[in-house]
Amino acid sequence: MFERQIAIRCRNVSKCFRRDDGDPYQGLRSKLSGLVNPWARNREPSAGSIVWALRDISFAIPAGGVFGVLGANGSGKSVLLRILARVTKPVSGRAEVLGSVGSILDLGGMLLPELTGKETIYQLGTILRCPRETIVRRFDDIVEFAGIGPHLHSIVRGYSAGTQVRLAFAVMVYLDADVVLLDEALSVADQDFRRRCLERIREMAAQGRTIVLVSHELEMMAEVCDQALVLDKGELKMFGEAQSVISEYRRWVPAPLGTTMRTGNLK
Amino acid sequence: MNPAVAVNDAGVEAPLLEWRELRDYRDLLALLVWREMYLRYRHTLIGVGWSFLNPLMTMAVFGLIVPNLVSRQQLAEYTRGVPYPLYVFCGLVPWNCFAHALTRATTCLVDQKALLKNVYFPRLALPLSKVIAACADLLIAFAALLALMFFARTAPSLNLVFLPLFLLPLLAAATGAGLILSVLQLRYRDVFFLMQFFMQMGLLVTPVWFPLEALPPALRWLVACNPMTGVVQGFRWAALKAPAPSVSVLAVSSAAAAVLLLAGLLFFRKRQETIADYV
Repeated sequence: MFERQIAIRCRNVSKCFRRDDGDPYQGLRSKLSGLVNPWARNREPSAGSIVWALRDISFAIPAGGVFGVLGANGSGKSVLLRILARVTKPVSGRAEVLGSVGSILDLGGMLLPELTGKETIYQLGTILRCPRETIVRRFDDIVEFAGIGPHLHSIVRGYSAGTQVRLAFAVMVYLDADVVLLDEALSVADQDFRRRCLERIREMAAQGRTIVLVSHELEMMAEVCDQALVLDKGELKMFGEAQSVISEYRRWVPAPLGTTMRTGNLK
Repeated sequence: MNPAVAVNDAGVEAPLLEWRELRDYRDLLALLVWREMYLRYRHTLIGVGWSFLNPLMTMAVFGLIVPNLVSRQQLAEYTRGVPYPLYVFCGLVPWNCFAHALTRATTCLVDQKALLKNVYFPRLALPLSKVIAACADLLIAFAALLALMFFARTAPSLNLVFLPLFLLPLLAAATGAGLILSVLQLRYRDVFFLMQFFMQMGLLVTPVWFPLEALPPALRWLVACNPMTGVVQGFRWAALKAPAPSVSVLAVSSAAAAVLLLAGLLFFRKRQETIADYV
């Protein structure tokens, strides 16, 4: 269908945040004092400092594959996914995503603890913009994948944290989105569930879907990703075929499994 | 089928109201309304009963005090024979809807952090779902009004067919104000308290418990600028055959509601794009 089409394209995407240092009224105050007294405008520093989360990011990835996003904490990975999911807008540049997008950037955060497992599946499906017929059709797959069969009609509050994550993840990977964005989705999964997730992710990629994964676990990323990029302080450091990007990144960040190493001495 | 491209471009400005997109997301809107109703009344003993117990108690208070302040004759003249408690209750039906809608809408973005940070949807759907849920309460309170009228042996008038017309300025004002307050609340947490204070004041300055006609003309115009003035008077005219609001009062009040809606949409338009950065 659109196997060799571009699934995700970023053109010069930048994003910054204004840090108000815990005082939300700072900006308002300086604006007001500027109105009353034009000379004060330059005296008060303009509402906190600006932090750049992404600077001029451009890349394109073809449909049908697994795409890894790597980088230290605070390097802009989550912000990039948020922009792809259209949850927030870049300050400049343009991101395009082909087809329907499914995103769970913060697994489990959307579950209502009072609902039963069954109700949760339907609600998550609706939130992820999945037509009701698809949810009905996929229902058994989801239940099996999450392994919640016996607890389908008990409320989600009673599920363990791990099971809640499995449920949300199962809904996510069975609802036929063309592009799936997963931020640190697998960090709490046990070995068995992780293996099944990775299998499912490869299966989806083979069907022509595009999966974007954020993770610090380089072993896993090397195993599952086709392509990858590395972000460092909001800048695109590497981009290309996953194996070579990850081995390059390993040399760059000497600690095993990408545990929080700073990048100061690496320039 | 050629799938659509989802574009997130810093340079593309959203239209004032993406009506078609909102319609595409009606499943999500229905879900949000359902959640709101469900969460509001779960674990309560009286449940939905609160939506008419509340105006019932307010009615009792005003009904006990106000008739002592004016002569019986004078009051009957103003209300055109409608029993005063009924007169108050009928005004409370739309007012409580408005107050509920604003209270819920103010915190709707702050409370839905997970949803806002996870998935894209037209942000307008959240405040709108609170307004719609408040309207469901209005229906229940209205049913209670009909029951009260039955006990008071007051026949509903044929004007009732015009009642839905007066819902429009109510919806416009609640949505407009809700949009502005919900965004402000994200950054300035004092807004909620300010809003609560305004709601208390609002009940006192809306002709829910007094007839607009009892005020001197200059003050009457000031009160007419309240978007709820026309709604309350219209409701009472439609349901109880109370004196009809004058066309000019209705026009001023509805214009205020329209301005509020427009201001809300304008205020929300640009700010909605980065809501997730602030929650």
